[in-house]
Amino acid sequence: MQNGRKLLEVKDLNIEFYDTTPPERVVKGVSFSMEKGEILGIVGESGSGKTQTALSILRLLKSNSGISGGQILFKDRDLGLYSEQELEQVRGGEIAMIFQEPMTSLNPVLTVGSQIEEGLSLHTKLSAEERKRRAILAMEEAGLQRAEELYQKYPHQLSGGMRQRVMIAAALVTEPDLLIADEPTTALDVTIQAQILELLKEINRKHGTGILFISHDLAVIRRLCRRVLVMNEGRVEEAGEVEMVFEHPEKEYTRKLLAAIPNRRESLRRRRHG
Amino acid sequence: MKYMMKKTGTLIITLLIVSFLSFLAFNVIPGDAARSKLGTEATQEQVEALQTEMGLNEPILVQYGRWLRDFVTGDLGESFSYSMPVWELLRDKIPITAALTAISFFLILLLSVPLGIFTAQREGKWPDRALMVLDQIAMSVPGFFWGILITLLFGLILKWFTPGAYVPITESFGGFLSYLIAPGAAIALPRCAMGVKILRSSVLAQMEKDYVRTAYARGNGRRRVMYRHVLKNALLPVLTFWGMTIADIVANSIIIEQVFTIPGMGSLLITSISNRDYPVALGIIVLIAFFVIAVNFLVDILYGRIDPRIRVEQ
Repeated sequence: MQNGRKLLEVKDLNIEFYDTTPPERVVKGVSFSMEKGEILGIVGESGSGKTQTALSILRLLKSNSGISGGQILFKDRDLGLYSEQELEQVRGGEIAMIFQEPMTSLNPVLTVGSQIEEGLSLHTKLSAEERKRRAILAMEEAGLQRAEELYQKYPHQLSGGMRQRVMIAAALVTEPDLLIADEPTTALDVTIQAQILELLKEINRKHGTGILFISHDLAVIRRLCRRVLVMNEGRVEEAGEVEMVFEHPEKEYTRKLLAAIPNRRESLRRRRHG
Repeated sequence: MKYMMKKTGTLIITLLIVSFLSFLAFNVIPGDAARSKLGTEATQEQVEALQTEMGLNEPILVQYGRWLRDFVTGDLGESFSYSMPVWELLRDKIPITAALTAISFFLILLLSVPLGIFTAQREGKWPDRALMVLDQIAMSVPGFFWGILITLLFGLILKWFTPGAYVPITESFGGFLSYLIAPGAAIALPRCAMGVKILRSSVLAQMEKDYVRTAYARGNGRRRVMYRHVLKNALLPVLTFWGMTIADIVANSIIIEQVFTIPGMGSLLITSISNRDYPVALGIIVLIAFFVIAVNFLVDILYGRIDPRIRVEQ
């Protein structure tokens, strides 16, 4: 464990919603780990606890819920022991996060440029000029063309795909070790979805950024990840290499989930024979 | 440019409607300027003679047309009861009411913004609950009654100011301003309470937005999330409220000036209405209407400056 390869280790994580009596446990004893530079997928239906798991890593859970047990180790440091101020340094610095709704995840009254730069002003002592230069580099890397021009624009002037690229640029500008992506392609159409997945792969290859990719879409997970965690009702149903899970699912639930996605080979065969 | 023209058009139409309706009101209510000038002792012949001299017997549209023609050329006419140009009468009163309005508005901003943020940040906790109870009380008591209470407490019991001892601006600027603080507070209290409530709920609604979660995920602390991200968004609905508040302050100052015996436009308006001195009343009404429209125009511009989505639509 101390070989320095581990990026993230979640041990026996429990999360509860406090607004019911007794509190409702939504994540039940989830454990997993990620190596540096790895892309790990978490797949599950809505309500399976995957988003809560992701949010709990940065302690971003809403006030009506909280971690009731377990440990989150990031680079062998226990994040559970961190104060709010110490966590602020980790958030957006070492661990960045992007979300499902690029339309609403950006502040409507601040320019795109200032939002991308924000991570740098919070986590570095760079000059304003240098911050702008890096923000524009990050925008270009995130596939945004005419970055200089876009820098001045406001979120509502951009398309959904562009906004998600802005979110990615803002997340990557600080060169984090881990990027948590919570359904980042769900709200986008298929072509843009494919482009964003390629972009994430590219970033992972180039910078060795570990990516925890959360999705309800198995097909998307298969394109991006080497290992996957299947979650259902707050528990890990199955975990392993993506191909193994796809080809030889152990659990009934995984089989059902797989059956639910349109299989291209299947449909081709059916068309040919039908 | 198109926007400016549209706004100017609205301004002109509103002023025409407001002035005509006020003119009409003077013709509908019983009594006229001639009778009130001559008093109850005057004979019917005397009254009629003066009415003819003042042009009060002419058709209402002719009278209004004449007033409008003079108004357009910058002449507000002459007061019936004071026998001096309306503009000269107003000139001395405007600074008083303007200062009262400014003080009230300043007090509203000064109190409602920090309190709105404070209560939103402590939603459901005891300071929030206690302040919300006080807020409810401040909101339900009308301004003039606050005026009476303030006079009683700070004037008669604590003796921080002498009730009724208005200090003219020409005598002492400091004295003038400090006398206006108590009436200013009386007007401000109910509106300030509303402002706290609106800002509080606006901040709370914004705190639920996705961009706030993004801001936290980026490493912003609570303070920075509030002041850099949330507040600008939360102020948008409050800005409209402030615009309406200015109109409300001017309307309220008419009553408050009576309570605190301040010789401002409010006192003049009431005297001119009871004397049926329509040139003076109309001058004041049109001036207030112009001011209210101008403030709303300013709010529109500010709105665009804060919210880039509106800027584009303009």
